[in-house]
Amino acid sequence: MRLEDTKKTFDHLTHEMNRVIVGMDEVIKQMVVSLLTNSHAILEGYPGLAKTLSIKTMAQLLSLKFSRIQNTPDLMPSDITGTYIIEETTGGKRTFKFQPGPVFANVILADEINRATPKTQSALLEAMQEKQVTVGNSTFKLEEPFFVLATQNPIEQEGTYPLPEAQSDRFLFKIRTEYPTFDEELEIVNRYAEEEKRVSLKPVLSRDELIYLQSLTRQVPIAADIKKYAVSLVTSTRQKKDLIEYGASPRASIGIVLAAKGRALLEGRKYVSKQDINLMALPVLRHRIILSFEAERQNLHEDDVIKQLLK
Amino acid sequence: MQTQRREAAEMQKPIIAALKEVRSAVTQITLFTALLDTLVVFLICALVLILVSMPWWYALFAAFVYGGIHVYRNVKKRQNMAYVEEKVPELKEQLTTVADNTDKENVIVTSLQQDVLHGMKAIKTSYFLSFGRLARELITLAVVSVLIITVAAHGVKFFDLNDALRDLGNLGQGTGEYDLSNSSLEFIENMSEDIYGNKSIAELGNDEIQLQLSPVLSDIDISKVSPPESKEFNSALPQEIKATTDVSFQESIPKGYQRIVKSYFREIAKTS
Repeated sequence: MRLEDTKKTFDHLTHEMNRVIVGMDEVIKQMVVSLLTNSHAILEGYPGLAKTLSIKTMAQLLSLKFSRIQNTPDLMPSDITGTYIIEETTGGKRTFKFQPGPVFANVILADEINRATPKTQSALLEAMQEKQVTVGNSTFKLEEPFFVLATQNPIEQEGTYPLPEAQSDRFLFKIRTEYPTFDEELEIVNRYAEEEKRVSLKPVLSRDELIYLQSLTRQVPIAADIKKYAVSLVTSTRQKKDLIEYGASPRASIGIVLAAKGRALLEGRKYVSKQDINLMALPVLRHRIILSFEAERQNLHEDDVIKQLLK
Repeated sequence: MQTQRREAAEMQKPIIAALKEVRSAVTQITLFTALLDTLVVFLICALVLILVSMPWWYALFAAFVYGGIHVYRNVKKRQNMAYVEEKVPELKEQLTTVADNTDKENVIVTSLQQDVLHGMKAIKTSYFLSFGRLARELITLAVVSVLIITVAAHGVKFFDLNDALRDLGNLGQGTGEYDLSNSSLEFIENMSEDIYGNKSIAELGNDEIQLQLSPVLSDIDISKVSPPESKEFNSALPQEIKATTDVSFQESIPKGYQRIVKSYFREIAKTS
């Protein structure tokens, strides 16, 4: 793939996504950036906002191995990582054989991740961080690229296990899905309440192409001033004590610069713009800050506080 | 791989040269505008100094300080590529990115350098010159120069700053605590013919002192002062007053000696 063709490829990917998903352009872009930066993302939104559908569609457009984990409270770590099973050979000899779990794929849809117990969440998050799985005495390397695209909804919190801050920090993005506009919702009704039409999707990106694009993403140059701006934005979350009790970690600084590079490449630019940093600040920082009592008293949300910092 | 790196290194050379050229052009223009600004400041200061009877060459110090600060600030600011980007919006953020990443070699950086190099061809020196400001400064220079010549030729002065400063200094001295040993506290003897004397009998520096004795606070109890007593004076005048001639009047001095005696007394009168 030539450098000049990257923009066309992304446009094609977005176009194909839009054949299935209506009006989630920003969510789609953030998901693609997550892929480009070889990072994980968590999609948060109310039920019925096409979180799962968008991830499934994305997986279909990438010729990658896809698996889905439906998280429930009784899901065990071994249900994710895999386990040893006894296998009888033709000679009647019984041996333990490792049966890989759904985590052994390139794109993992971890649906309703906050419904799994902390123990199970930890198993998945370990795989996300280390990109390897240890079962018993054996360690299995996960195949590259490896993405976890998780979903959770902000309501129905009863019987859920919200991700601890240290674990949610491993997701580069917390992508917020919003309700569609009236026209978009009308379009959704037109598409899905009429006669069922199967949309056939063809892969747009191969595994090798994706790995190449990931390497290109890291090569996108960034000006020193813009890099300083990104770092100062992250450090300001630790200084705004009146509204933020706990600010973002240096991992957020790395994430925001990397995400801005991905965004630049997605837009077909060969340099990072300040606007890229501003656009990536919300999904990168919103799950990495803990608001103070004062912010909650003022009925402020994470996005409101980050927008204040951006001013 | 090595060939690609060599190609990338070769590609960097023109971009580094181009960046240097832009920086050099910007520095030259900055120095030129700084010189003009300094000249304007110098002439305005010189005019003001002439009008207040101060040496005109004091303006050199003001101009020197202003020029130094101006050059330091602007050269530092304008060496940053963000200044060039302000003038050439087509290269916004690209030029800075390229300037900050000259040490990097990869496909994207090389491609960006080519784009920027192409875009830099559109940069003109005139982008960094504000012709409106330049015209204003030249007009100011001309007007102030004419004013200086006129003022110097006609000897126009608003006031003497030296005198004003001296007066201001004297004014300051009078505000200290009274020092009785100070020579400024002096008694002025009435030398006039006015029997009531001068209105001011004592001066503290330039301040005239008006003294008032409060009847209540003074040691003299005015309420106890009685009216003057009438006193009988005894007359001790002689019974009879008459004039007689002295013996010397009757002395018969020869006429020849009379002239000598006369001149003798005249001389005595002169010396006294």
